[in-house]
Amino acid sequence: MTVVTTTGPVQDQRPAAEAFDAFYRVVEPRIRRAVVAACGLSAGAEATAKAMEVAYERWDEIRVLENPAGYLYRVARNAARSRRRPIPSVALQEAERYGFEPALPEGLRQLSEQQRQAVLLVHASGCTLAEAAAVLGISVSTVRNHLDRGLDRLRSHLGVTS
Amino acid sequence: MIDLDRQLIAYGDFLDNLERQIVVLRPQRTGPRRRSFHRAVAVAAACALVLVGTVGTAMTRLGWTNTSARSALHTEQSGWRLVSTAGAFEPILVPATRASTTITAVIDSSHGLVAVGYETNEQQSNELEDYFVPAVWQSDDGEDWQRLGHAGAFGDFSDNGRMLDVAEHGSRVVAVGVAGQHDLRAWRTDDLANWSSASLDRPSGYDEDWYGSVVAVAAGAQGFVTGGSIFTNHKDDGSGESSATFWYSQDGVEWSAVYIETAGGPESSVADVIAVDDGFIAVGAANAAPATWASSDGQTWNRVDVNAGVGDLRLSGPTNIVRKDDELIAFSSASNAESSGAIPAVIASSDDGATWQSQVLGRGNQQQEQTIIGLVTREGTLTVFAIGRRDDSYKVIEYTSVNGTAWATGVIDLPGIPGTATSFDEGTVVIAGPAWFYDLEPWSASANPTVWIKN
Repeated sequence: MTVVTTTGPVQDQRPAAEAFDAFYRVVEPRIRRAVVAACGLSAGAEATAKAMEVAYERWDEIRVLENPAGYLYRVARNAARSRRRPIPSVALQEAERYGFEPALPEGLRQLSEQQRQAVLLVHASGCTLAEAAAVLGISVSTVRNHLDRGLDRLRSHLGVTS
Repeated sequence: MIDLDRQLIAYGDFLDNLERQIVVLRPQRTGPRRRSFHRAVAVAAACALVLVGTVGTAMTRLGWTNTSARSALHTEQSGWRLVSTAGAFEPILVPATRASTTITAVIDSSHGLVAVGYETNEQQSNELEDYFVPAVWQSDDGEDWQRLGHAGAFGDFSDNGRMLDVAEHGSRVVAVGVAGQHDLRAWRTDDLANWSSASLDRPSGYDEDWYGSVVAVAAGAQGFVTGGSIFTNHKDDGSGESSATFWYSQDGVEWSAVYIETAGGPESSVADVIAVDDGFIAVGAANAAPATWASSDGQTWNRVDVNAGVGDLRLSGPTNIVRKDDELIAFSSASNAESSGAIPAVIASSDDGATWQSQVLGRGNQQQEQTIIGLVTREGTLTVFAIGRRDDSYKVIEYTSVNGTAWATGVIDLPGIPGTATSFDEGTVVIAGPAWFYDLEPWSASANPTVWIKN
C-alpha cells in the first residue's frame, strides 16, 4: 500500500472511504491554508469545504489525477474568487496568548498574495516546498522565490535583523 | 531576537483555531451525497460557533447538569414527531434536474407559521456556482405546509436570491437576504400572496467596491431592523475592512443604513438581533471579542463591550441571542491556546443590555464540538438545538434550561440538521435539512427539509 501523496497519481489500493479519509486529513488543511491566505478566513474555509465536497463526489476521478491537491486548490480558489477578504486582524491579547508579535498579521497583509501563501504554507503549516508547490500548482523554484521575498519583507516589517 | 519561524507557527495555530470554528465537519462516505452540505456550511459559518462540551464537573460548578447517562433519548421517548412533508418542500422550478430546498428561518406570525429560504438548482450553473431563488412556505398548524408563489413572485435577481431571516410587525412580514453580491434586499408582504422588495441602501461614502451581508432581522414597535456587515476597501492583496452595520425601516418599505461600526478597529460584525421592550439588542464580534449593540429606536446604536476574559479563557463573539423573562442570554464559545476546540459560554444581561456577565460553562475537547442551530423559548423553558459528535457520529443535541444558568442536555435522533426552530401555539417546530456528511441515523432518503414537532 502506498501513502497518498499530492504530487502524483494515487496508487492507494485501500477502500475508497479509507483512502478519501486519508487524503482529506493530509490535503484539506493545506488547501484551506492556501485559500485563507489568499481570500480570508470565512471565504477560504467555506471554499475549501466546497472543494472537498467535490472531492468526495468525484473521488473516483480525482484520486487518479496527477495532482489532485492542485486541482482542488483551483476549485476552492475559483469558489472564493469573488469574496476576497483580509486575513483576520488580531487583538493584542490574542497575539500574546498564542505567542506571536501583534505586528505579524499586518506584516502578512503587506505581502503579495503569492508570498503570503508560500509563507503560511511552509512556515505556518509545515509543508515542504514540494508540497506547497503541488497545492499551488507552481514550481518549487517559484515557491522558493515567493517564500524568500515574503520572509525578507516580514523580517523588515518586524525589525528582525537576521 | 524574534524567531520568525516560531512566530509563524504560533500564527498558524491561531488560524487553525479560527478556521475550525467556521468549518468543523468533514464529509463522510457513509451515505448518499446531498448538496445540503452547502447549506450546512453556510449555517456553520453564519453561526460561527463551535461549542465543545465536556458536560462534567466543570459545568456542574455552574449548574450545567450532566444527564448524558440518561440522555440517549430516542425520538419517540423525547416526544418529537416527524411530520409528513411529502411535496411541500420538493423543488418546483425545474423538477427534472437536481435541485434542493433550504429553509433558513421560521416564525410564528399572524399568518401562521412562515418559513423562508431558497431553492437551489445546480443544473443552471457550473459545479460551484449554485442557482438560488427565494422561497416561502406557510403552515397553519405546523403539519400541513404549502409553498407560496414561485421565483417570479419575489422578483428576478439573476438567479441569486436567498432569504435568510424573517420577522413580522403588525401583519407585515419582512424577509431579508441577498440578491447578488452587491444587492442586500428586504422582501415584504401583508398577505403572503403579494410581495414587494427593496434594496438596503449602500451606506453613503462607500464606493462601488463594496459588498455586504445581512444575517438577521427583528421587528418591534419602533420598526424593522436588520443587522449584518459591510466589507470595504478591498485590495488585490486581500486586505479590506469589515464593519458591523444596521439598516432601519419604519415600515419595511424604505431602508437606510443607519449605523456603521467605526470604533475599535476595522473588524466587527453583527451575528443576531432581537427586539426587546425598549428597542433592539444585537450581538456579534468586534476585533475577535464579544460585542453587543443596543438601540432604543433602531436608528441610533451604542456598542457595549463585553468582558472577553474568564480566567485563562477568551470568549469569541456570540452568535445567537434570546430573551427569556427579564434576562438576555447570548451564546458564545471560549478557548485558550491549549484548548483543542471551543468551550461553551454564555453572556447574560439582566439590565436590558447595559452590562453583561460572562460565563464559561465547562472545559471541552475536540471530540465534542457542537454548533448551535436554533434557540426556542416556550412555557418558561429555553431550548437550544445544536449538532455535535456523540458516540462517533453527529447527532442533534437539545439543551434545556429554565433559568439560563442551569442546563440539562439530551440527544435526539432527528434524521437531519435543525436548520431553524420556533415555538407556536401547539408546541415547538423544528425544520431540519438532511445533511449526509453528519452521518445522522436513521438516514432519510429525502434531500429536502423535514419538519419535526414536539407538542
